[in-house]
Amino acid sequence: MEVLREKQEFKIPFRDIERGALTNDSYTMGIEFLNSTMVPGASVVLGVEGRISAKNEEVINLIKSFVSLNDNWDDNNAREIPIQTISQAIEVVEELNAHDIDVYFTSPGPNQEILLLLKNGLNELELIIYPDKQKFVKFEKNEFVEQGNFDLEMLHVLVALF
Amino acid sequence: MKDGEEIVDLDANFYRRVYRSDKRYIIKQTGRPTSRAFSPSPKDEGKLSVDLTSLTTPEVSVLDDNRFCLWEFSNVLIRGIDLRAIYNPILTEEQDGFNNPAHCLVIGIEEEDESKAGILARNARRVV
Repeated sequence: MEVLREKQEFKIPFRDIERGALTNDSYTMGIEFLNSTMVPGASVVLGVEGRISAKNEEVINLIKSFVSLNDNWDDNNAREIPIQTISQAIEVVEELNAHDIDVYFTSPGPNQEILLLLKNGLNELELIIYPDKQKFVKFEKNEFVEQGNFDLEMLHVLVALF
Repeated sequence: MKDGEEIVDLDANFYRRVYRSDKRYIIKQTGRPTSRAFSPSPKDEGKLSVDLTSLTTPEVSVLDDNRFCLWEFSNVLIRGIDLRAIYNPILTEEQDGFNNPAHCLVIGIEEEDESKAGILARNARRVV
């Protein structure tokens, strides 16, 4: 990725913490300010907003492969996963990606669900997407902490506290 | 032991057979099972199918170690999270033709409770 070394100005958008969305306000700062004041000798690396991280892209591709799972795919009567559930799981991954969260692992389940496992040190957050509901389960140092339902709107709050 | 009898022995342990082909139930980074591997299958109607270790061996319980791996957890663990195991022997012709006198069912898993599967997965020990 190309590193900017010449004088540049950047417009840094503000993010509404509660809503998790970018606002129309922004702050302009020059690269010399960043280098001399914040991190001397630092370089600014630009990324493309909305780009899926390599890890999340791998997870999304794996989720897409679940469409090939037929009934009894685990030799123990696991049911096939509806295409709509697969789409919902991908949506959740994309929303996580928008908040710079990488999914650690994904797994299909026996009851048409898809598990997304997030990991932050010794803390783990399970997001379980069923055809008719979405559940979360939180673990800290392998100990169960909390569980409940979630939707896309509250997802950023859930992962912010993770 | 009678069919339907609750396993109260605190020294009892159970095997849980986990499908491992394609590593779908196994976290590739750690080799540990996901909670989905300890979630009741549709045919078990909310009950978790396990084998009582004292009535079987790992080689018998795993059925086919090319397709499955075997995880063990204790009766202390399941009773500690308000679950119970009941003896549920399976006769030949009932389950794919396999006679399974060690078969038990872990009961008490509520449909909306996802925590139990995760707790079992995180505390199980791999045997095969």
